[in-house]
Parts: sequence; structure tokens; C-alpha cells
Amino acid sequence: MRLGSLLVRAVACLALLASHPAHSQLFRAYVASDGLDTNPCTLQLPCRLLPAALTAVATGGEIWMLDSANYNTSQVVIAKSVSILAVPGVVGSIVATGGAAGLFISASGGRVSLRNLVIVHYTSSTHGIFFGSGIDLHVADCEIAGVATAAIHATAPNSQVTVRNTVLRGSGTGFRAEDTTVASLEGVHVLDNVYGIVVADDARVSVKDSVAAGNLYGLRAEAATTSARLVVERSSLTGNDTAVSVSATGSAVAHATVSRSDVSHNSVNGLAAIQDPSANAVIVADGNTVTHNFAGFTFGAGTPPTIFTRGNNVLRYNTVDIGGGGSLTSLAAQ
Amino acid sequence: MELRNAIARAFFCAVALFTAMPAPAQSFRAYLSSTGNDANPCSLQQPCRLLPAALAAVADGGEIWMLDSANYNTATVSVTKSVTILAIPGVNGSVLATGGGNAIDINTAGVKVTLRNLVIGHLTSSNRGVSFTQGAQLGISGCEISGIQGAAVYASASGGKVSVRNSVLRGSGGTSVGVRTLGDVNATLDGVQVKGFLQGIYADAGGRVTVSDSVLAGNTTGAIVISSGGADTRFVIAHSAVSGNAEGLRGQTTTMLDSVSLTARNNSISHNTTAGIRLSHAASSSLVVALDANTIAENNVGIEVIGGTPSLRTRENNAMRFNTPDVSGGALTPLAPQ
Repeated sequence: MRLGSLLVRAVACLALLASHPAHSQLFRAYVASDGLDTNPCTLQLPCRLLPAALTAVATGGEIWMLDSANYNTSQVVIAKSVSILAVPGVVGSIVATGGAAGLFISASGGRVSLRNLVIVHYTSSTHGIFFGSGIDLHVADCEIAGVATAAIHATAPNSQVTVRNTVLRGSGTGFRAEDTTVASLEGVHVLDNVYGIVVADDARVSVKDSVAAGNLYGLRAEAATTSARLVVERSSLTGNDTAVSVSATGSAVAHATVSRSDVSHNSVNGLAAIQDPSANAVIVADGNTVTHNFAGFTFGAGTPPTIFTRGNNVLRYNTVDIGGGGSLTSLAAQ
Repeated sequence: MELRNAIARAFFCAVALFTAMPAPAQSFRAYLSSTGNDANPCSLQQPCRLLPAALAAVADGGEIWMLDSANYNTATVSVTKSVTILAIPGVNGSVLATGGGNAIDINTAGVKVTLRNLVIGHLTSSNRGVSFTQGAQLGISGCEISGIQGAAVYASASGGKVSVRNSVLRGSGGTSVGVRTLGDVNATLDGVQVKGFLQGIYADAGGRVTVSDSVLAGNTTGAIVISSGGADTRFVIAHSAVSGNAEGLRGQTTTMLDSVSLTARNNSISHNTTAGIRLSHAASSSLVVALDANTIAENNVGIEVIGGTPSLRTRENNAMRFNTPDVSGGALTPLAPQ
């Protein structure tokens, strides 16, 4: 009888092994504060830290953080398509520490989604999220704070980036896009950074229903060699030193198109453009309220850049409505 | 006397039990949890594990609550009654489209189905996230639907009304579609992010689609409006960002019978690498576009007419700049001030 029972158990174990091969990867891997990295990262036996879960999860799978805890001890490298999320109601924390990034994405051809995460600086940091390679990054419902270089740095060539309902605060830069990144930000608050949002050479960024406040520069398109293009829609750009600045050096092109936004209480400039003699820095202003700034529109020194308006902005209560000696150019009615 | 009394009591109890609680009693609320069991009655104390058991247990017009974070299906979930399926706040209620099928399939006349706070994903192979081929109403709110290979939301229920609110639809390239309406469907999208599809929105054959406060980004075509079969297809988009697609908005007629209208107001249409708005008009068909106070900037071409002579009306209050050129292949006609 006892031998029979042992045999049955042995067969059952073999069956289990056959159905769960040692190297099979999970569609969902789980991490929890009481997990263990020697576990298989299942719901019943979750892992503790993100690197173990990233090893356990299949390409295109998901990692769920099940309870409030911190889930890394050093820079986490993401090298495959994956969604990482903290379940709602949970603080899924990641620290940027050791003079490195919190999450470093190097996933050629990969799509990465990050939801409901909190990334903060610990001792010394560079980036919250560094997107070095991959075709798609989606960041939603996250808060990234206090990192030294940039909360999100998107520099993956030919990639799409979306950021939604997210706070980027107290960092060197909130969001920086360069190379051939195309980014769309919606419901994003960039607060108290040196630079809120920076669009550098070859990048294109559109911003909608967002807030830039308390930054030295709220939003900035800066081109040194090629072009940087920024479109801002229905946003509140307030209490910065400069709300929107456009800077083109050499023979580069920098554009900012700002529509239906509130530009107020900025202590230096509302909308400002500056360019080298052979460069091209241009602002289009359509239906904005530009009030209570030191200067509403500012033409930088040297060759005056172009500021187009549709003649439908409210420009009032600035110490200087138009500074720097240029004049506004009317857009054609179309 | 005592025996008669006992028999009477037993009879009364039996009658009362059978009339008050018929064997297949259905609940207004059925509950699911990760520790549930489908042999349970799906009550709060004894929840079920998977959606099919809860759908069998819930009464028509009732609700299904997912009580904790877990996945709640193993194959396509067929919804054949009016029901609201929701994950309670703070919970990730997951439903997967797998085996080449749909995650949630609604194909019963007259039903009204609401999905709230669900996460619908793709595992291995999938067709549709939510398929609505028959029914009266479909509501989707606070949901994320991602990676589906066919359509995140497919709606062809004739006369059906679809509402998608505060949701994210993310594609994985390929031939996937975010929201597909086919035929006489009235769809409203508000606060929806539609990203990474071949077509973000695909309105065809008589649909009436309204989009507000939404983002169409990173699709091959943000939204396409066509009219196969000649039915009048109407599309309105307002207060939205159409950005970083190849084509932002596309209106197209292919036969003289086709009729398409596209109205865009107060949108930001930018960074689209082929064109912000692209129009293809078949001779003698009706392709009508009305533009009011949009910002159309930083596209390759702002508005491109690639065939025929669509009616392209504006209130002359759009800000168009940094397109090469702003308008190509057609001309804008001012709308009368009224």
C-alpha cells in the first residue's frame, strides 16, 4: 500500500514536471514584498525583485507587482517586450540609484509598457526611465521624482513614446526626447524641474491637456544640428521662469506651436524664441491666454525669430507684452 | 396530531423552499475571486473563479464583480444577457483573448453590456478584445485593451450604441484596429488613447462615430472613414490630438454611391509623417469635410487630396503651419458665417 502510494506520487510529480518544464516562461510573472527570487514568480509563489521576474516572463508578457514595496536594488535592464504594472491601489516602487537609471530599456524591436509605478532617486541617480532602444514605450499613471538627469529620457531611434496621466517632478529634466523619437504626452504634469519637457534634434513631441509649472524652462524645443518640433495643445504653462522657449543654433530649425493654452505667471518669459543668424526658430500661437508674465512674447537678441499668431490670443497684464523688439506675424486664414 | 403537524410543517417548508428559491436561482450580483471555485454559488461569501460561471449565475440586468487581481477566463467569454462586468477599484481584472478568439463576445439581440475597469490582453493568438456583433448597447469605461491582433473593439451590431470612455487601446502594429465600426453603429469615444494600430479607428458602411478629448497617436492611420456599400458614414472629432501617425485622419470614397463626412473641431493634428488629413474622393460620390479651429502643424502635408474633388470647408480659423505644403491637391472653401 505504501509503495503503491509512493508510486502514485512519483507519477504525479513526473506529470507536473512534464507540464511545467524547467525553462518555460510565464505570460504573467508576479512580484511581492514577501516573494523570493528562487520562486518561479507565479501568483502562488511570487518573486521579490524585478530582475527575477524579467527572467521568468515570456517576451510580450506582464509583470504584476502585488503589494506596496520596492522592487529593485540597482538599475533594472529591460531587454524584451513586457508590461510592468503595480496592481491598482499599490505603490510599486523602483529606485534610481548607484549613479544609474531606475529602468534602462534596451530592447531592440521591443514594446514596453509601464503602469502605476513610482520611481524615485536614492543616493545618486541619472534617469528614472532611459529608453535607449525599442520601438514603443508607453508610460501611464506613474510618478517619477527627484532624479538627477531626466525622469524620462527617450532616445530610441524611430520609436513611438506615449505618456499619460503621469507626474514628472523635481528632476534635472522631466521629459527629454531626441533622435527620431515621436512622443505624445497627455495629462502629464511636469513640475519643479530645471527643464520640464525638452525636444532636441530630430525629435517630435506633442503635448495635450498637461501642466508645466515651477520649472526654469517649462517646455523647450532646442535644435543644434537638424530640427526639433514641439506642439502644445490646451495646457497650463504657469509659474515657470520661462514657459516655452525655442532655440535654434547653427543652421538648425526649432518650432513650437502652442494652441488654446494658458501661459501665465511666468517670471521671465511666456513664449520666447532665439536663433542664430542662419538658424530658424519659430513660434505659432493660436488662441492662447498670455497674461501676468514679465514678458508675454519675447524675441531673442540678434536676428529676430518669427512669431506667428492667428490674431486670436489674449495678451494682457504682462510687464511687457512683446519684448525684444520684434513684431508678430499674422497667419493666413485657412 | 403530532405526526400530522410534522407532515404539515415538512410540506410547508418544502413548498416555501421551492417557491422562494427555485433551483437555478440567479443573483443580481455574482462575485469572482482568485480563490473562488466555479462549483460555488458565486455569492460574496462563496465566489466563483471564472466569468462563465458568474454569467450563468447572474440575473439578466445584473452585475459581476471581480474582487481581487487575477485573470478571469480561459477562453472566449460569451455574454448572452444584459450585464455589467467590473473589477472593483484597486483591482486588476484581467480577461485574455487567446486561442485565436475574442476575449469577450456579445452576440445576442437587445442586450446591454457594460465593462468597467477591466484589462483585456492578448495571449499567444487573438482576434478581438470585445466583439459586439448583436446587441443594443455596449459601454466600456476605465479599461485597457492591448496587444490584440484583430480589433481591440469590434462593433457591427445593427442599431447598436457603443460608448468608450477613459480607456487606453494599444495595438501591436500588424493589421490590428483599435475601434472598428461596421454598418449602422453609433459609437462615442471620450478620453480614449488609441495607439499603435494599423487603423486607430475604422468607421465603415454607415457608422456614426464621435471622438472627443482623445489621443490618436502612433498608428499607421489615426482614423479612417469609408463607406463601403454606399451607406452614409459620419465622423466627428473634437478637442483631440491626432499626432505621430503616418496619416492622421483619412476620408475615402471608392464608388459613386459612397457618402462620407468628416468634421474636425479644435483638434491638434501634428507630426503625421504622410499627411494630417488625407482625402480620396471617387467621382460623383460625396466626401465632405468641415474644419473649425484646428491646429494643423508639423505634418508632412497638412491636408492632402489624393484623388477627386472632395468638398473641403473651413471657417478660416485653423492654424496651419510647418506643413509642406499646408494644402495639396485641393482647395479650401470658406464656410459662410452663420
